[in-house]
Amino acid sequence: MKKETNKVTFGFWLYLMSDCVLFAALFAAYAVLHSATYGGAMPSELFSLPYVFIETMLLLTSSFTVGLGLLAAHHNKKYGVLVALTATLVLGLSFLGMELSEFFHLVMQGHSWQESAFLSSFFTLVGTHGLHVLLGSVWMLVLMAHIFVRGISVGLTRKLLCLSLFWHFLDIIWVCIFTFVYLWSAL
Amino acid sequence: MERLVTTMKFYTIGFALSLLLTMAAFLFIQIYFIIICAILQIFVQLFFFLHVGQEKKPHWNFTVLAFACIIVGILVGGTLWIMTNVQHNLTANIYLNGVVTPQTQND
Repeated sequence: MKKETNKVTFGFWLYLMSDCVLFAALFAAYAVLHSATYGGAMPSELFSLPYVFIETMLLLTSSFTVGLGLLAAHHNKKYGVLVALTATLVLGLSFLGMELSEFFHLVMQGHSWQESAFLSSFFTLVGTHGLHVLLGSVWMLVLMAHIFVRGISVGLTRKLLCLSLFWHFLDIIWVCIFTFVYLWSAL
Repeated sequence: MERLVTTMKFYTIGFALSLLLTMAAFLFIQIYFIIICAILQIFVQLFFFLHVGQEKKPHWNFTVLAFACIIVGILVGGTLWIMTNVQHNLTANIYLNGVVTPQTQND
């Protein structure tokens, strides 16, 4: 069983590394295009740092709680896992809500991805990250349902381990996003 | 990944350090400072949350991570190098003895 876990998690880690390369390409595109504003809005005019700070806190805390969930799974505490995962999900969805709201307001003010190359690359990079968070949240919901119905097992702990790897990875990507997209705009 | 000695302490320290680094970055927005904070936070999260470097031999996870970092380095570094070059080559330099080259909107 342990060997199985090692193989599966290594495979998942490999996928995560490929996802890393994907994000690197999006970051490279943003780096090239962030000043191509075509006479339209500039980054410094559009981004609110306090807002992004709150988003960052939500995602960071959710990364912490998913770790706690994994710990609970190792100790076979079914309801500990469910509580931790619920907290993670709530925090993650709050993050997504804030991000969607930010995107919505940008578009409503006329600053959509059609305005300039800067905004195209911004929405692609941050949107792709958000999409990953959304899919991770769906995965988390499904896993929670499994654990609720069947209880903690080696197999489900393995799945939770993969999900936690995914979730931690997303927080690391977010560190790069808030640094190189948002904080960078205030330089 | 084998079951590692993951305790509450590990995650808490990682969380606390990440919090500190995040707050520091948001407070002092200086170009090199935020980059260093980001890199440190990435290492903190890799070590405390993702347990990179805590594997027993063979260290496949770390190897694959290192490889991915090389690829990322080439991708991002190479892109920036090439695109900076393109911009430079396409920038009008009207002071150069009357020789004018076309200028793109990025300049």
